[in-house]
Amino acid sequence: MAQDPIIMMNHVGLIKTDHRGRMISVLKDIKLSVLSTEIHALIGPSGSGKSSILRLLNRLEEATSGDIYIEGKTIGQWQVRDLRNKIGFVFQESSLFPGTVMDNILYAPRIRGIKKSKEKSVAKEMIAMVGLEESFLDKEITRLSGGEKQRVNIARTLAAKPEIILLDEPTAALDPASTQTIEQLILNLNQEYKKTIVFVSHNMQQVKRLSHHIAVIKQGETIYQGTAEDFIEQHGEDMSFL
Amino acid sequence: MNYMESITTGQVLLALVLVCIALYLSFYFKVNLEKDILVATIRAFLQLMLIGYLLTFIFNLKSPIYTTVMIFFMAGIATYHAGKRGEAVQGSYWISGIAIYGTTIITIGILSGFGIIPYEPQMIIPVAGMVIGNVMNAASLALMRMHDELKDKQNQIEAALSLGASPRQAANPAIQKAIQISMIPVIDRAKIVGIVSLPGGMSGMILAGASPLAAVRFQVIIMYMLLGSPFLTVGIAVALGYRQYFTKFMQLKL
Ligand SMILES: Nc1ncnc2c1ncn2[C@@H]1O[C@H](COP(=O)(O)OP(=O)(O)OP(=O)(O)O)[C@@H](O)[C@H]1O
Ligand SMILES: [Mg+2]
Repeated sequence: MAQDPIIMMNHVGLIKTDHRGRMISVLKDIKLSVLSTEIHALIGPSGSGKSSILRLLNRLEEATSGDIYIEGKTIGQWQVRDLRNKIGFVFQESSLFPGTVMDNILYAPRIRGIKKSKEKSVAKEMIAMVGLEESFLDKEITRLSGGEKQRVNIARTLAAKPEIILLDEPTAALDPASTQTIEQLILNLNQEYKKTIVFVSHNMQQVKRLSHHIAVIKQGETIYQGTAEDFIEQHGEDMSFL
Repeated sequence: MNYMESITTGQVLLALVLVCIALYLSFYFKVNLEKDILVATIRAFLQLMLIGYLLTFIFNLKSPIYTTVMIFFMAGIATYHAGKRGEAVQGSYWISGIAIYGTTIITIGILSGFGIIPYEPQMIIPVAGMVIGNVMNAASLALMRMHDELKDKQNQIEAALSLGASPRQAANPAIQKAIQISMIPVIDRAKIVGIVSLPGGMSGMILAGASPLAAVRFQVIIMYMLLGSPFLTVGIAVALGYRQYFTKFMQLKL
């Protein structure tokens, strides 16, 4: 039996007004179909609209046209809070809160009124999931390396127990060793913890390593949906034509 | 008749010697402020004369209604200025209005309701003037600071929203910062009062012949009022202000 996609976007458009009040068509015709079991990549040149797509899925913005379905319900049918609890968003690292690793990881649990006595065990569980030592919990965010920050960032999102995880260029600022750790973590989250993953990347090699399906975005339009392998077969690995 | 009542126009004109010194220095150092100094001199004179005649008129009426109208008029001017300075915040005028009018009504209500200061124009209008001038600055400072914080911390606020925070929770760091920044000067002033600075009102009372201890008692009332009222204004302003930055779908809009 064919699986129903957990995320569907049909002809989605997003028009924004810039600071001078001019209308800008950020997304024109986005199609996307993500299965609950998969790692799905969004790839495309800078400014093509990849981050905007993730923002729409987390309802940080309203689409101007088209339909977005999550588990078969339109995004408007969801209570915003339920939607955001289901879909976690890993932003760039600059979105970490000032304070300790523990403060960051416990942000979502505390909002939901976690008992003080449970805090430590939840924090330990999350930090272990991203492969960091327990001793990190008391460290200040400012003292972490880029790779450590990104893992804390992911742990903070995981603590909200999302079923779907959106990651915006999770390895953009990282060296090759940290990149490999994060890639392994993404694979783990999907295979071991059964999370649906949608991530943005500039790197076709990485996309090929991680994803089951990809969507190629160009100037606010989806120009390809399928596997990375098929796309490379048709167009080669050189993305510069985009 | 004491000295205050006997000041003549001639004495006022003689004080212009001090302005002339300023003019000469501006000319000497070529700082190009001569025109500004002249304008300021003339404006100060005209505005104060005008307010002098207006206050004389209202004091003579001895009508609580005109007193109230005068206070509301002052609050209106302050609202306009605070709203204009906080223009980056959507709805800054009505937000400042609610904050300033609300604070004025509550503060003056407490002062005269408890019989601390009688509701007579000679007493309550200058006091209201102090309250309003004071909270006007606090309101616009708080609104501007909140705006900057929300803008700078956009990433963190959206991260908080996406982790399930309400707009109030997500904006909380910005709200706290805005309150702290706008209240620090108010609290600092209360801390050093009497040591570093003699408040203008107290100096005025002593000049007018009141005993220092009477002047001090009155000044303490004023200081407590000037400490409490900006907090009220800032609280109202940010509580209304942060809501302007979120949609009903808990989205940050800048
Ligand atoms: N608030 C805004 N006002 C004006 N233009 C905007 C706004 N937000 C986004 N855009 C524009 O929309 C386009 C898509 O932005 P988006 O961040 O989604 O691209 P992206 O594919 O993630 O790019 P990158 O790879 O550089 O991160 C860009 O051209 C951007 O300049
Ligand atoms: Mg982007």
